[in-house]
Amino acid sequence: MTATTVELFTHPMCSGCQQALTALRNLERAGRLTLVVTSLGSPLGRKRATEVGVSVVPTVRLGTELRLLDGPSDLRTLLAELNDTSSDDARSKAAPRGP
Amino acid sequence: MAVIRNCILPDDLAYDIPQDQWARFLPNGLLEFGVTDVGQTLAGKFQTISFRRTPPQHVGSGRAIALLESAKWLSPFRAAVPGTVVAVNKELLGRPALVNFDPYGDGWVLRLRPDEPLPWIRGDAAREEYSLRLQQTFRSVAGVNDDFWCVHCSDWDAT
Repeated sequence: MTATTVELFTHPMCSGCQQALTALRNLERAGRLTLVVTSLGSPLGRKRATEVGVSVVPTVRLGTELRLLDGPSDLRTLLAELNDTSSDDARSKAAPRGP
Repeated sequence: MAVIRNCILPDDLAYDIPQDQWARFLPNGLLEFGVTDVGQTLAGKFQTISFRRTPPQHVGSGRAIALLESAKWLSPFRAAVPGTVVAVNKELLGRPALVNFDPYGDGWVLRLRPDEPLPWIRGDAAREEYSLRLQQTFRSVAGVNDDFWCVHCSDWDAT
């Protein structure tokens, strides 16, 4: 099993970005995801954002899906989904194998 | 709508590019004014907005009507033409960061009945001039930036 990779787009001026970063870092420490942080405060980050079509922060990229976190409720929904996903992964890992 | 360096510039507005202000022509002859996307990015998150005039009040060109403050930016918002200030956006008193989150909508600053035509540029001319300006090196709250890019943060304060 490989952990879900989440790419978080942030900017130093964005208050919601810090909350999202803290919450996702906690999940990463718990081994539930791999977090990639891309700051739009740097030219490289802006180049990456342009490539994938991010213009508003905080935004997460899950696979090919971009999701704007437009407030704490969006973050809670995302965290719940990520927790469910990692629980499903753990369950399938623990499930008995067939004969 | 033009997008230059992630900065949104609606086509239907007139611009004072050195001051980073926009004006919208309302159907009743009024002008609505605000801060451009470039201006809100340069300033950073607005922390205090106060008004120097109580509508309705006649003002001369260049008179300060509002004062906008962010952590490292303080700027009077001046009348572009003589006229009567008919409204100020009192919502900004409690939520100044609306200028950052929605600079061309809920973040409008004031409405004025002008005594004379507004000499600001529009359309292709505005787009070309802003494009030239955005090629220059900027000094903003983030420091000197030779690769300027407008920042759009979602409004977590409202939720």
